[in-house]
Amino acid sequence: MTLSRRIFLAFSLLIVASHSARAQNAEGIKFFESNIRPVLVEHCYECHSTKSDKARGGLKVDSRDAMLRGGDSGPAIVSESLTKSLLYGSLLYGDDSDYQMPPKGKLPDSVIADFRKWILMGAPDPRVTTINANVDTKVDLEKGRTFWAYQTPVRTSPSKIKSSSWARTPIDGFVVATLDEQGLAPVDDADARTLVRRMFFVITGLPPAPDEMTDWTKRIDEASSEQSRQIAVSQLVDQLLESPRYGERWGRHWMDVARFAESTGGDQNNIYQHAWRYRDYLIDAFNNDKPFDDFIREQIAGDLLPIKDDREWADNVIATGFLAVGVKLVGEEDQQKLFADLIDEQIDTTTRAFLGTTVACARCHDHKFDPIPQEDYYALAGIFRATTTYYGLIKAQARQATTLLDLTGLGPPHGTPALSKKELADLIADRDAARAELDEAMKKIRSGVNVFRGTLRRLRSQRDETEAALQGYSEAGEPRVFAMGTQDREFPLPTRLLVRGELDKPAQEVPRGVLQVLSPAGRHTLAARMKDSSIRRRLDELGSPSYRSISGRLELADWIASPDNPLTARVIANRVWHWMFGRGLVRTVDDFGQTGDAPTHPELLDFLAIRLIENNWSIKSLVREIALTRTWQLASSFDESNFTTDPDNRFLWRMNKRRLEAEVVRDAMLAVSGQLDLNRPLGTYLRAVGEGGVGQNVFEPVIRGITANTRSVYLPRVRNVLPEILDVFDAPDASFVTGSRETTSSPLQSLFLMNNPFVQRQAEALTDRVSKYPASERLESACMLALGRGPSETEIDLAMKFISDVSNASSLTTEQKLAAYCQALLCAAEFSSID
Amino acid sequence: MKPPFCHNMTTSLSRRDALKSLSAGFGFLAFAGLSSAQAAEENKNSALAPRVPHFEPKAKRVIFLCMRGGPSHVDTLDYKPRLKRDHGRASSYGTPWMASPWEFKQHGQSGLWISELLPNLARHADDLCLLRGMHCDQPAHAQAMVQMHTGNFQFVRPSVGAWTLYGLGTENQNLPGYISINPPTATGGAQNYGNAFLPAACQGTKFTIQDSSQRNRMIDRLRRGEANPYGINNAVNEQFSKSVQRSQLDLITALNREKLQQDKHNPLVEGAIENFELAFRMQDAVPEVMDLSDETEETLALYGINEDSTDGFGRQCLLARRFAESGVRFIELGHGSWDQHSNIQTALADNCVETDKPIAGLIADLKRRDLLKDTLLLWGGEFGRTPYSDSGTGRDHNHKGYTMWMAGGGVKGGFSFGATDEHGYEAVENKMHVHDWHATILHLLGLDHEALTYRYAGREMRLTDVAGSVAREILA
Repeated sequence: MTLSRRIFLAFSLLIVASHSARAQNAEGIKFFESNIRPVLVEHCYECHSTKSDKARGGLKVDSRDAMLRGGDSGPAIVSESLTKSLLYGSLLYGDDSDYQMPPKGKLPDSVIADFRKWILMGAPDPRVTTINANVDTKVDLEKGRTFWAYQTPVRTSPSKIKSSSWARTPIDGFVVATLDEQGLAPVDDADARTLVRRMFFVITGLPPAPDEMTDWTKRIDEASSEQSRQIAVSQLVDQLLESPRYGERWGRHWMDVARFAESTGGDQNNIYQHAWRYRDYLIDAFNNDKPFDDFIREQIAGDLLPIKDDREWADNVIATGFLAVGVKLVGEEDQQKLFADLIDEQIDTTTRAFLGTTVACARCHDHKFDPIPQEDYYALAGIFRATTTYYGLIKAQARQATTLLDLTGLGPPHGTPALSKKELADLIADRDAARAELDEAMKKIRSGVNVFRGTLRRLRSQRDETEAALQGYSEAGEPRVFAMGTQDREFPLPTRLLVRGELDKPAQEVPRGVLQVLSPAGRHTLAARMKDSSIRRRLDELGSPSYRSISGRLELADWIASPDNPLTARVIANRVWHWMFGRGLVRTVDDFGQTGDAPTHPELLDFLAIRLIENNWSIKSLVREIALTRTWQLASSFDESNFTTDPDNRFLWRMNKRRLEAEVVRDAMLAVSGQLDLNRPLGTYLRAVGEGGVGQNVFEPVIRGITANTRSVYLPRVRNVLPEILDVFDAPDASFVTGSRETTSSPLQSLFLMNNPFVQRQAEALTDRVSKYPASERLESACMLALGRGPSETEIDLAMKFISDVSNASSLTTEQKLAAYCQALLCAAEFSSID
Repeated sequence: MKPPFCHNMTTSLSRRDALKSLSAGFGFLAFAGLSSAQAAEENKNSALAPRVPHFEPKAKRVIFLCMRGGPSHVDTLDYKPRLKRDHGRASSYGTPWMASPWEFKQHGQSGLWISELLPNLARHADDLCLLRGMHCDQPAHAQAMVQMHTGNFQFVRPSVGAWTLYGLGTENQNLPGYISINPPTATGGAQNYGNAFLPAACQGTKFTIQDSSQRNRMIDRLRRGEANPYGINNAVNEQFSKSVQRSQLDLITALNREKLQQDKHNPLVEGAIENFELAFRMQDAVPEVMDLSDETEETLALYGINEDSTDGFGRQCLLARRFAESGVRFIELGHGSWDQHSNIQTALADNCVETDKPIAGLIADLKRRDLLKDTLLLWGGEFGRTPYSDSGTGRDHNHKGYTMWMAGGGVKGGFSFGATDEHGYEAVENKMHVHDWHATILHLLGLDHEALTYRYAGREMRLTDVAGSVAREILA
């Protein structure tokens, strides 16, 4: 494991320690005031202080904490250690030191001697951060606990579920009861063709091939009884759930929630070369129907779970990529600020993804709407503060780079091909050349020759990039296996509430814990929870007795993944419903709080949550159960009377008509054109563009130039540089949890469909497929391929008219005319929507 | 007049009620009796046709200069001598008062106080109607941004531009009626120009143009590839002749109509029909409107185009004028970020330099083309900033009191409406909530904000919800 120890040292955040009381005597302070402080103010504050708003290299020297904490390279001052105090090293202006400070010239020897003396004295420094008065909460937790979402889901006894001749399953019973209450009547059942098409798209994200369509509609239509019809439908559901395409479709859903992307976004937008492992983990997790509670534990605390073997550990660690792939401002100078923002992002994502709760709103003050005191935020922050997040990047390109987790030899597959001897030798030569060039430049600087700073930066970047590339291989040229993810620190860091969220305004210390409103009064801290024997037992069952984590992440994961947490099962059951119907029972899928919507069918939501838990958190079972309801199999037909009462179909009197998601639109085009490559690519396509920030070392035209006919889930996912088709059709930019996508409709989509070469290419490929049929069957087969049905009489007339129109008006070849017709099919609203 | 483009029968009734007294005898009763699908069919060519407003409008179109991030009012347009006196003293908000580092002077006949940060705008003082008592409900960017655009920060609601289009249609059927140039992807994203439950045709269309200084344009080309000269991708069909494309489009539309007829009601398909037709026409109209080659050097210079710091926003402003001239109903441009928690001294000055000349150029250009009188200019951000300091070198968010301005389109020039307290923290006099701002904008466009409704989820929805009153004092 290549863990960077340095990182542990670098974060001794906000420990207002009683460090070296001996040093903090009056004499020491006097020495600091007369000999040290004036030098710091004169020579260092300009680039390293709060007042100048600069923290070059992440370092500030205007408080004792900041000096002890240090910057990117480690602590500036380590009491009584001249070798560990980087600041001292830099004052010496030595050749072997990375830094020579102050940059304008070496200080007089007498001043350096003062620093030496001061460090050996224990670095006395009165500039201690003051602790603010305790911040009290105004949140009424008792009242807060009465909110519906924080109550345990209630089981409706089977006898209470409305029985009706219409209902086919208990879910239908709930739905029809509400429909009756609202004076609504369900529309007819969907015809077999509509149902098959819906089933394929919803479960696999791909259209049925013509023979599949014909085969399944026949089986369903020709069923002799209602019962045998449902058996046929359930066979189709099972077949689709077993298809590897299911994981690609549903894993992509979770990627929206987990704001998955392959770059940092933010100010620099550096590429995450290793995020794809988490992507593949998600696809596999859905395909293997990993129980959702395990899925939660692995993503939050995979690195801490007990394991049977290395391979399991490696897979679990990859799952913690969940915590690492978010947006980061890696150009940030202040490491402490970056760390705080990283934790904030982790809290926000974790609580919204799993709990539908916006805890991050409580960073600066009590939550404005939900019963979440500011202390709750810092109780969670304490857990994440005791965690190190590894997301990679190269130091010379991103101030706030980290190392990665090295999983070589533990089992996960390589993401890059092995190097030949020659390739390896070339890489070494590149690295050595870059080193030599940099050494040369450094020599020049030392001898007093001016070297342009930009040049120096470029040379450093080049050296580090070649070095990093080389580190991706063993000495034999075998690719190494890296992953993004988390590890516990060696000890938890005391955490204080920050007044208005400001780093320099610490108030009371907050013990690590979970949300108060979801805990019995006074039982929300990790310590209090450990007194609960049932919690202890559950944790013990995970592994060896008294299995605990240093950070508390394992305990947090266990709290979230617990069947007793009233939100977790409801939130994921609602997400599944949303993915099945296009809308959740709670519309605001990521917000189960006061500002979110209340459930339209509260009892049904509870029923689904309880079923999910009882079925060992199996998502496939839930999908299956929903797909087999009469409600899900309804037609999407219009009904004037129902529509007047319930235009939004909140009460499910019909199936929602939906535009397909961006990825599905693209995949469907490739599927019908016969161009879709169903293989999973090795690693990420971004390997070709290398490390770096978009616009700095990696360029947008190059990223956009990557083309592949694999499924959209495998396309490069760089924040702000989404593939055009995905952008135009509303794929989210992964800035934050997006459980529900926008569906816009704009002329830009129409222009894309009419004029973009991608669509034109698919139309041509579809034409090639169709041209294999006799001329008389071409229109029919094109329609069958594109829309899963033959053309109507009117549509045949329209097609004939079109062909004759363009024949009169142009000199297009037969092929070209047919291609124009095929493109029109791809442009039709029906192609990119489901009923 | 064509009927309003509703695909929802109950809605058409409410619209009908609102417009009955003015509409020139179109067969509304017959219309109301049609099924929704038939109604849509009936309206197939009129989704965005111009419509008669509720009463005589003062403004025919809107250009919204959206200053994202919350521009500081006390450093630009809200002069607070008291703040200068109290500089450094403790405020009751935790951090000390911070005087503006910039000088204010009176300008024009009207003598409006404007900061030295905006020397070009100051020359148009007598055209400005300052709204110094603005306030909204939330001090967070996303919520305030969405509320400024839609009136509501909690639910997905149509944006003010979408409501405008719904009420008035648009005058040029070859361009989108509502264009948002370089909208942000964060802080509500597409919601800020979305149509929500209104017909899809009311949605704003996003145009992307280079928003950078001349110096950066070279670098941009390297990084992002050639700038798209049309502001949108895929503007040109390189595959078929116009007539083949037209036939193809007719086929697409016919297929979509077939689908719509079966579905009876399907906003997705209706939206697609509209969008394909518009897209087809945009292929000619967009390259033409985006082509600045017919502008004189003098005009380009007026907007600061080809000058280092003003080129980016200057181009946006010039395009806004060209869109306005072409009959686009609602145009929004963006500049940001004005979110100066620290470093206000340099960052706010930069923002002002980048926008001051282009905006002044836009006012002057509209005026000399006689367009200012019926073009409503709006300027402002989602909130203002605190008169007390944040981190010593900046200001925090302030939704309790801030300044926006209007110009042209039927508002008084050289006028100041509303006031904040003596430090500039809270609006205290002639307060104008975002709802009031919306009500006033609609009023200037000839629309009664209480009558412009759309039935949704059992309610007659309005841009102003159940609030909003027109600031009659500012009407010219």
